[in-house]
Amino acid sequence: MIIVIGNTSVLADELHLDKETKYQKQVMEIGYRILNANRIEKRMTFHYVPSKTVNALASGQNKGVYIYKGLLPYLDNDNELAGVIGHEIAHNMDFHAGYLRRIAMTFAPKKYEKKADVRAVDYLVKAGYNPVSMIIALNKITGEPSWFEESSSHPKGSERLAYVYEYIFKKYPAYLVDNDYKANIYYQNFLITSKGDREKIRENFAKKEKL
Amino acid sequence: MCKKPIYILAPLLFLLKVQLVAIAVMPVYDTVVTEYYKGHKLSKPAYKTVFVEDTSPAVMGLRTSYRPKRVLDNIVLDYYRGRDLKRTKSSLTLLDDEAVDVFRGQNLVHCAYKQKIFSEVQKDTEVKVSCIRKISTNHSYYGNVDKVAGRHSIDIGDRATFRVAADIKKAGKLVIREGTVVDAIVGNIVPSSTRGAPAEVVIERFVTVDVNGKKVELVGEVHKRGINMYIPYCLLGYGAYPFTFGASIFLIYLHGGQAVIRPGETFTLLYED
Repeated sequence: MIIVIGNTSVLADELHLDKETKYQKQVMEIGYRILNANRIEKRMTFHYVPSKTVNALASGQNKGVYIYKGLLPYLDNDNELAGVIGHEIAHNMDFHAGYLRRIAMTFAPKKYEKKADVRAVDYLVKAGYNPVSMIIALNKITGEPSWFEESSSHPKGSERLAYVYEYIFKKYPAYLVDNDYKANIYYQNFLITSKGDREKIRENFAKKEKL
Repeated sequence: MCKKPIYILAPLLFLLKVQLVAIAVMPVYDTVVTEYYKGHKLSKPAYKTVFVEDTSPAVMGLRTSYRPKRVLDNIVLDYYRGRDLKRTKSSLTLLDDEAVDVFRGQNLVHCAYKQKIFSEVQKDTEVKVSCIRKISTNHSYYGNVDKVAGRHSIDIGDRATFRVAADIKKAGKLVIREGTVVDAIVGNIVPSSTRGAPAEVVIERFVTVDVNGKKVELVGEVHKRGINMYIPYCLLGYGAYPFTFGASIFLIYLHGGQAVIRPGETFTLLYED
């Protein structure tokens, strides 16, 4: 008989479980931690899918969060994985709001992607994860479609990075001032590529402060 | 008269027949090509690809004295002749996020995570709060970095004011008096979007004082959404599509309603001991 006490990933090590089982436990642990810390009163489940597709999705049908194996090489630590899971939880919260909301999500997916991105930042902070990891994960995963953008269900990568940064800048500046990711190469790359957007955010903020 | 359809179908049948013949002949033709190469019957394939892992001269069957002539890039040599050809070391200079300087002097503390143990019996008391000042996403500029902030604009982090709608009692004892001001902040603004998606506003971090003047944090968030316009969008955009000959595609620019919290509107939060 096995008595489950404490950290599940430690338990996974003791039982010599295979890697994929450990990933499943890691995904669940992070997912439930976010749910509890944010007092989310809706049920949802967390699944690891051993498929090489680079994807993560929230299922409206059974309110599950699915993290694909192909996504894991892009994520370096729990904070970044929490960012992806937080995003999918935010989608599931909208799925829980009923069929009409689900139809709205089909028709205006970009708006709900944006909402899920910034909502994930709140979830991360309350669960004790670093929200800057959201920027790093998005910088590595999201693309930059160059034409016929309207047909895409997700906003452009640079746009997503800009509004996630703006949200952290306004609401949780502590994480940017005392930044754990300052020397991270992906964050450095973000600083190089987003210079224009960050300047605009700062200018707007300064203008508003004057009013 | 009755033979006319056959005449019409005749070219199609002929084409079909040609196709079928081609399909039937193709494997035979293929076999002929592979078995007879330049008029000679081949018992083995003409070429054989050999994959060699070790490419050393002994394995490849080459003479050991064989030394290939080194080809020099004369253009590069001419260009760099007499110049300093030391390799430069890559030095990674760390960039600073200059924008965060705005926040110097503020209280900047990371939020630490504490696992909260929820009891089986809920001890929370409901608190009804009503809005004092109108909050509207109509003039919000969040998410659009090009737009300049207007005088009436609301933004993330702005203060929102409410007041307690009724006396809060716990175990028969007055805890918070009616009319006490409750401070909150605008937590998130989602602007309205195309295809009839409405705007949303989130008010959070509700703080008030109890009868002893002690600061009390109320638990809960207020989510307010505007009117959904996607049903009119569906009806007009998709239903009328055959009659408007595609002109209704411009309905994708139909935006949803703004989220507005009017004075006097009440919301329920929780008071935790």
